[in-house]
Amino acid sequence: MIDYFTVFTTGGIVLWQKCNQPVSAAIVDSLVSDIFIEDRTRSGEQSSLTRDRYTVKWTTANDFGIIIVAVYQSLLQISFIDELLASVKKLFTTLYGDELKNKDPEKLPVCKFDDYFAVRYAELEKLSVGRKVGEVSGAVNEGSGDKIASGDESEDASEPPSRVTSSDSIGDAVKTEKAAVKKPNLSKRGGRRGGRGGPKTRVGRESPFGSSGDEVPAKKSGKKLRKWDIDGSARDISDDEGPLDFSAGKSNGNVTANEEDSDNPLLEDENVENWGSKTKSGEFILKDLSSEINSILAVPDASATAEGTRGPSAALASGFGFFRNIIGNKVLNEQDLDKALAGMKDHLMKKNVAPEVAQHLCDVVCKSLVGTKTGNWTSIEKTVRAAMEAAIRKILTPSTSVDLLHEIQRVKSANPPRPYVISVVGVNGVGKSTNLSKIAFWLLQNNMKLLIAACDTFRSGAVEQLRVHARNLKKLTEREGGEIELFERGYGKDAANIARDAITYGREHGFDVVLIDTAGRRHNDTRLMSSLEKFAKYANPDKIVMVGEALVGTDSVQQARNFNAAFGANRNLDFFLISKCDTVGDMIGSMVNMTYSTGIPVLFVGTGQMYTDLRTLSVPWAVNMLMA
Amino acid sequence: MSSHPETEKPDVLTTHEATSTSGYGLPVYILGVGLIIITAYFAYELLFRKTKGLAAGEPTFIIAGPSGSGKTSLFTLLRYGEKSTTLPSVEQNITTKFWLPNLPDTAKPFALIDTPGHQKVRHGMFSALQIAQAARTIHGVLYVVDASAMSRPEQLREAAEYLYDILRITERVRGGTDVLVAANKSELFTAVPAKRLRTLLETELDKIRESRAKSVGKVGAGSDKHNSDDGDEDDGAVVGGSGWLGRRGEKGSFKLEDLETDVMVIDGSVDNGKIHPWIAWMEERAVN
Repeated sequence: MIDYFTVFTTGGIVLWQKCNQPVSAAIVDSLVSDIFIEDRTRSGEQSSLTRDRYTVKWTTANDFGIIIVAVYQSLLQISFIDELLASVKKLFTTLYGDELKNKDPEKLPVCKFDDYFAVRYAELEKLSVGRKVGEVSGAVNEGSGDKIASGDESEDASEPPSRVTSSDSIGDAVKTEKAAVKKPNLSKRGGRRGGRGGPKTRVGRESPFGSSGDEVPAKKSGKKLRKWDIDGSARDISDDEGPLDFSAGKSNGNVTANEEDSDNPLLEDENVENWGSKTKSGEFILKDLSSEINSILAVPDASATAEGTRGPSAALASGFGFFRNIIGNKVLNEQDLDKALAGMKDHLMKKNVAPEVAQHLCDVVCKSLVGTKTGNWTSIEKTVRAAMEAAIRKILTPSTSVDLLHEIQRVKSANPPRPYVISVVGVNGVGKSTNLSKIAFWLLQNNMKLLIAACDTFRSGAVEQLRVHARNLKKLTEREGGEIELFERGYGKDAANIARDAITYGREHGFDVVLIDTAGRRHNDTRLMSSLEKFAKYANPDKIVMVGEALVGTDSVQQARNFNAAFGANRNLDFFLISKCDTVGDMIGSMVNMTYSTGIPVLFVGTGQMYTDLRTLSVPWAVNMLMA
Repeated sequence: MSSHPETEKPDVLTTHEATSTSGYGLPVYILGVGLIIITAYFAYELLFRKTKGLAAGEPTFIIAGPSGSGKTSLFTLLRYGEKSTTLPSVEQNITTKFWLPNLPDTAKPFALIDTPGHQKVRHGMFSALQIAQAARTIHGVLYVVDASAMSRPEQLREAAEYLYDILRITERVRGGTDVLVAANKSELFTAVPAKRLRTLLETELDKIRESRAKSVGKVGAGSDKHNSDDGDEDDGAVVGGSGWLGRRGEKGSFKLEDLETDVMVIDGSVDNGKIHPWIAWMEERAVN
C-alpha cells in the first residue's frame, strides 16, 4: 500500500495528492528538500531514498516542470512502483499537459486524477500478483496467499478514491465515486482471466498491421487481457482490449475498436465516434476511463515509430541544427547534451574534480535539462554551462549557516557555562596545527579565552610546535585582551583522555573555547581511524573540523568519506577547512569533491602562511574559479 | 554568441561558389532571397522575442522568506485567489499577470516572483532582486515569516539572517527597496504579534551585524580579479563579509528605522485568507 502519492510542480504547488496513511507533513517536507534541493541521493541513477521507515521513489518530467513522488513503508516491497510512477507520469502529462506547459496559467490547474490512479493502481497490482504466481509456480501456498492479500488491498484501493473525492467536494463526486468503486472490480476480473491468456497478444503486437483481421476474434476471446502480464513495455498496452472488451461486450461492441486507432487508420473515424458517444453517456464512464488510460499509455508506441521515421529527416534537421543552436528555443535531448557535457566533464577534471564527482554533476545537469528548451539566443553550451554553475553552487552552498562566534556566545551564556570545543582532524601534513592556530588567532581577536589541547601525542615535535604557536599568538594579541594557554600531557598518552582532561580543565578555569589538535592519520588505516570514535565519544566536541588540502586530487573523495564515517553512527564531521588554496590557483576541485561526497560544507579556506590568512568560503568565488 | 562568425562563413563561401561557377543567374537570386529571409528572421528574433519575459521590466514584487513560512501558498492566493497545498519549492514560481484588486483599470499587471526558501537555493532570490533593482522595476519585497515559529531562537535566527542578507541588497539603492515582513500564521496562538516581532528581529539583526563584522573575511574578496570583474552584480559581495547595516554605533543600537529601506512588519494569515493588510501595502507601493 502506498502511504502517500503526490504530483507537484517544481514551484512546490501540489497538483494532485493521495494520502492513504497520514504521513506527517514534516517528514514529507524534509524528504522533498533532501531529495530535490540538497540532492542527498548519491546512489547514481537509482531514484529512491530510504529514510526512517519510509521509502521514497520519484520521477520527474522536466518539460512540464512536475515531480511525481510515492512514499511507502520500507517494510513493503512494492514491485510495480516504477511502472506505476511511469504510467502516472504518462497519464498526467497527457491529460493535463497543455495546462502544465503554460508557465503562467490564468488559474491553478485542476487535476481530478483520483479515478485514473485507482484504476491504474489496481491493474498494476493484479499484474504484479499474476507475475508472482507465474514465477513461483512451485510455491502454491505463497502464491495464493499473495492473491488473497492482493484482493484485500484492491478493496482498500477502491475505497480511498471515494473518500478523497468526497473530501475534495468536487462537483461530480457522486458519479465518479460510484465509478471508482466499480472499476477495480471489473479490472480485477479482467486481469484474472487475462492472466490465463496465452501468447496471442504477443503475436498481435509483433505484426500490428497484419492483425486487423485477427483482432476482432482475439478481442472477443478476452484473452487479450494477457497484455497486462507483459505490460513491461508501454507498447504492449495498446493491445489490451481485455478489460474494455468485457464491459464493451455487454454495452457497445464497437468500443473495442478504439484500441486500434494507433495501428489501423481505417478504423479511425468509427473509433472517434464511438469514443464521443461513449463519453457523453454518463453510464459508461467506467469503461471509458480504463480504455482512456490504455489508449494514453499506448501512445509511446506511436512516438517510438515517429522517432524511427525521423531518421531521414534527421539529416535535414542537423543542417539547421547550428542555426537552432544560435537562435535558441531548442528542445534538448540527451544526444545534444552529451557533447557539451563531455567537454564540461573534461574541464572539471582539469580543475581537480574527481571523475566520479564530475560524472555526477554531468548527470545532474543532464537530468535537469533533458526536455527543456534553451532560451532565446542561447547555445546548448551556454545552457549547460549555466546549469553546471547552478549545480556546483548548490553543492557548495551550505544548507545551514554556521556562525561560530554566535554559537560560542550561546554556549558561554548557557547555564552552567562550559567551553565550546572545536577539534581538528585530517591526514598527515595537511596543516591541522597551522590552521588551528589561525582559528585561534581569529578567536583571540574577538577577546576569547582559549585553551589549546595538544592531543597529537605521536609525532615528535607536535607539542613543541603548538607551544611556539601559543607563545606567538599570546604576544600578538596581548593588547587586544585575548588569553591563550596550552594544555599538554607529553607524548605517548591516549589522545581521547587528554582531550577530556583538557575540557574539564577548561571548564574549571573559565575558558571560552577549547581547541583540540589531533594526530594526523591516513584515512585508510583502520587501526588509526578507529581511535577517532573513542575520541569523539570522550571529547564530544561541538565542532569537528576536517582539514583537507586543496592539493590532493581524486583521493579527497575517499578521505572525506572515511573521516566522516570514523566518528561512529551518530556523529559526523561538521565542516571542512580547505588548506593551501594559495598553492593551486583555480584548481580547487577538492572542495567540490569533499562536499559532494559527504554533504558537509566548507567553512574556512586557508590562503597563506600568516595567521591572518584564513578566509570563509565564498561560493560565487569558488564557482567562478571552477568555471573559468 | 561566440559561434556567430563561424556560422556566417559557410554562407559567404557558397555565394562565392555560385558566382564563380554558374555566373550571375538564378542561383544568386535564390541565395539573395534566402539571405534576406534569414536576416529578417534574425531581426524578428532580436526585436520581438527578446522583449518577452521579465527582462521587459514589468513592475515586480518578490516573495521571499525561510522555508515553510507559506510563500507558495501566499503566491497562489494572490495570483489565483485560492491557496493550494504546497510542498517545499525547488524552483521559483513566476507570474507576470498579477493584478492588484483595488488599482485603477489603467494599471498594468505586476510580475510576482515566489522564491524557494531553502538555504541552498536562495541564490536565485538574491539575483532576481538585484536584477529587478538594477532595472528599477522592483516595487517591494514580501518577506514572509512563520510568526508562530518566531518564539523559537533558531527559527528567529534563521529568519533574521535571511532578512539581513536581503537588507544588504536593498540598502544599495538610493531610498532602498521597501520590505514588508509579512508575519504569516498569525491565527495560531503561539504567533508572535507584529510589534514584538519587530523588536525581536531588530535584536537579532543587531547580533548578526556584530558577528558578521567580526567574522573572517570572504576568500577572494577585493583583490581577486575574478571578483572585481563581476563587480557588485554578482552576489559575491552580497552574502558576506564586512557590510554594516544601519548607523555605526554601540552594540544593541540597531534600529530598522535607521535604514534607507522602509521595513514594515504586518500580521496576516494565508490560512484564514487575512491578507488584505499585505495587499494594501502592495497597493501603496504599486502606485509609486
